[in-house]
Amino acid sequence: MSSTSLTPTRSRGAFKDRVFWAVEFIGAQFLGRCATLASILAILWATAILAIRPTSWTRPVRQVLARQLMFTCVDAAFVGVRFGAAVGVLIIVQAALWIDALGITTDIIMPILWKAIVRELAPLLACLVVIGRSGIAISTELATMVVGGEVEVLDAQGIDPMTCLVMPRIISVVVSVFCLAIIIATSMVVTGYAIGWGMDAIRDSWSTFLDGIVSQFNSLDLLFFVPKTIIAGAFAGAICCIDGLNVRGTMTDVPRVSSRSGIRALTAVFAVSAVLSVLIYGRLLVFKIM
Amino acid sequence: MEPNNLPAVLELRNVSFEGNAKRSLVLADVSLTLRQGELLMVHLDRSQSARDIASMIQGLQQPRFGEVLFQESDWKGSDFERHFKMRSKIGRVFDDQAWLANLNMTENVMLASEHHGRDLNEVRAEVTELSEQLSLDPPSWERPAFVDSTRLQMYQWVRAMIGNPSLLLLERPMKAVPPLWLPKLVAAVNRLRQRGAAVLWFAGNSSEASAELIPPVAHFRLVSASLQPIADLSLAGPEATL
Repeated sequence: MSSTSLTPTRSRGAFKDRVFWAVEFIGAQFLGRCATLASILAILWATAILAIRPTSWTRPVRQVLARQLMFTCVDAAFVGVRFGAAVGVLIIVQAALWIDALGITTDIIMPILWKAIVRELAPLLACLVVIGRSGIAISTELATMVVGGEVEVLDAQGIDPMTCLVMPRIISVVVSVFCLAIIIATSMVVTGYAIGWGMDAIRDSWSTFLDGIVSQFNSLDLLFFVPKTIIAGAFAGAICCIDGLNVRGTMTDVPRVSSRSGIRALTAVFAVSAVLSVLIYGRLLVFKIM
Repeated sequence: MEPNNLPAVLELRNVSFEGNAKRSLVLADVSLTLRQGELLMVHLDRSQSARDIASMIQGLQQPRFGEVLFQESDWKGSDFERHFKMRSKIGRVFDDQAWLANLNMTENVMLASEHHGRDLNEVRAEVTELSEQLSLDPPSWERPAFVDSTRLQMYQWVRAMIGNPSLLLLERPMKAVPPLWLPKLVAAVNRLRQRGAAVLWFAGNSSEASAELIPPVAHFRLVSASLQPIADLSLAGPEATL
């Protein structure tokens, strides 16, 4: 009898424990995410403050920015063109399929493609190129500098690592994402036209095709393209720098930190894109936000 | 050390400190004052590292108790701008890692001076002059990984001494350098002291206590976490060799 009377009490207690554990876990995760977001915003704020101060732009800082821009933007331009060309082919194939399946004309499909390219695909692809090529390299470089004592050497000479290491890197990532997104969007459109014209899917002349695209361009595209590239780029740069500088341990910890940094930056880019879509278009899934 | 009326450059007031590394020196309730032109030489055992203590003196690590003052300013608070300016007046020769691997030697040596807004031509002239005084080729365009350890160490001397620092921290400055170069280093340090710099020299070898060092010079070693003056330099420690 005693055992039967104890069972429900024990299971109620175990259930309660599980609920408490779940609530505690969710709370800890939520607070952890809030702390991460706060540190990213703090770094971005400090970067903005330092960037507008003329005294921050000493010759060594300008050199760091120039080198980083060269690596992240200029050297990545051809990668952006290749990515854009490949995705442009994919898009034109998809467009041809839709035209055949729905019996619609290029006049109808063109605005949809243009909006997809400018508002979503080009900024995302630019972020992928920058994170894959430079973001991981930035976190690796900074982590190696921390573990090797180079950051302490800078600090000991009165050089602020935030001014000399972090600020130029974040700015270069932001500028690079913006520029590469333009390059990728251009590459997609040109390749799409070339392939479509070659396949006889597009019969308009280049100037007509270009006029059609330009006429589709409106202020909402700019409103979406500029903040999306800049904010997503800033988050990616800040995450890579934070992860690199927060490394603890030895040189063998550096690769682990770098790969984690890449994943975290990618996650942030997708999250920022989603949030910006919701905010700019005022829609959460199919429901209009009041 | 003889008391004098010159301004204090470095003051440690009842400092207790324990570094992060195993080889770090430990301090317990240590007080000292280093004034302009004075040199204090701390003789280290082979097992001791002064890196953490030098970092504490520069405000990069905090003592457990007590306070560190550089030119009568402390390292407390969050006025980082002031802290960076204070550090720009301290020249330092590091015991271990001392260079940025992705910069060449010229960039490395001139980095801090350029960052603190000094005229580039003036810095170049000073580096060339100091290199000549040390019988050293001016820094090259090679990266640190491709420069031999002796020249690397001597370039540290150049970097620490340009810009007329108020305080010079030397952590085993003769590490990897043949003893015949010691008179050159001592002469350069003497010139700096005559211009008013104070020097804290963590010696890895008792032979670094050159007779050519101009007074006032005091010799200490760390025993049981406190600084003990050394009267007889031959007792600076049998292990005190590199």
